[in-house]
Amino acid sequence: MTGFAIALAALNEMKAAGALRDYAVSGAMALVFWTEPVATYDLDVLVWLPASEGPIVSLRDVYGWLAARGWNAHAEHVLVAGVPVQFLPAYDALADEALTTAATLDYSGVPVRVVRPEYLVALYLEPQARTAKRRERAAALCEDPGFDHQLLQDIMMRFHLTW
Amino acid sequence: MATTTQPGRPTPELLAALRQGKATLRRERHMLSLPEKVRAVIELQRACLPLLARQRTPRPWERVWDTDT
Repeated sequence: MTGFAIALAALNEMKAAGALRDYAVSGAMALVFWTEPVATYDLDVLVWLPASEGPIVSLRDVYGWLAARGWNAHAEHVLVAGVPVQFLPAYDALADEALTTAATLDYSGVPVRVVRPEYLVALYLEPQARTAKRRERAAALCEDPGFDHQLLQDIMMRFHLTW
Repeated sequence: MATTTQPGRPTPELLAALRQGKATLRRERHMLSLPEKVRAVIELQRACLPLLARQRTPRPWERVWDTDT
């Protein structure tokens, strides 16, 4: 199994082991799944963490699970089989919905949950995420023949997003 | 007054063909298999990282993936 496939398989193992409740690949690598290759250096993963006793969300258990397998955190990333992975706990209702509706795709025999393109665009359009590069990537996603523009309109209306 | 020679301009047909070629390239890259796309991402990392490093110090995670894809 190749390094990237190992990193994806690790996500499934973490979910099966209960270290994560669920996950979906997001960010530029999700875009790569749906459109064309772009230059990116990390694998962004949107996650739901197991229920905790307090209100403070911690990635400690996630990092611990990975560290037990020799994959250690460096600042905000964990190097999993050569791939820097960043775990991002779902931070709002749109992120929750993006996670819930993620598609299960296949990468070299490894099932992988990936945020759908319409939700990727919506996440890129959130005020705290808007950058010129992300808007450009959002536009590229919209050009895809299979892109559901009606769904994007619906999401944008419900979450009060604009271009 | 010295006159300057205007450089040759591409014809609209040539410009259209070049733009069409770019669209074709993007379509072909879109159709790659996922492992081929990941290999392309790593090639882009190899190509872009030196350019990035000329602008600023790369962050710790900004490096070519040490994986055989």
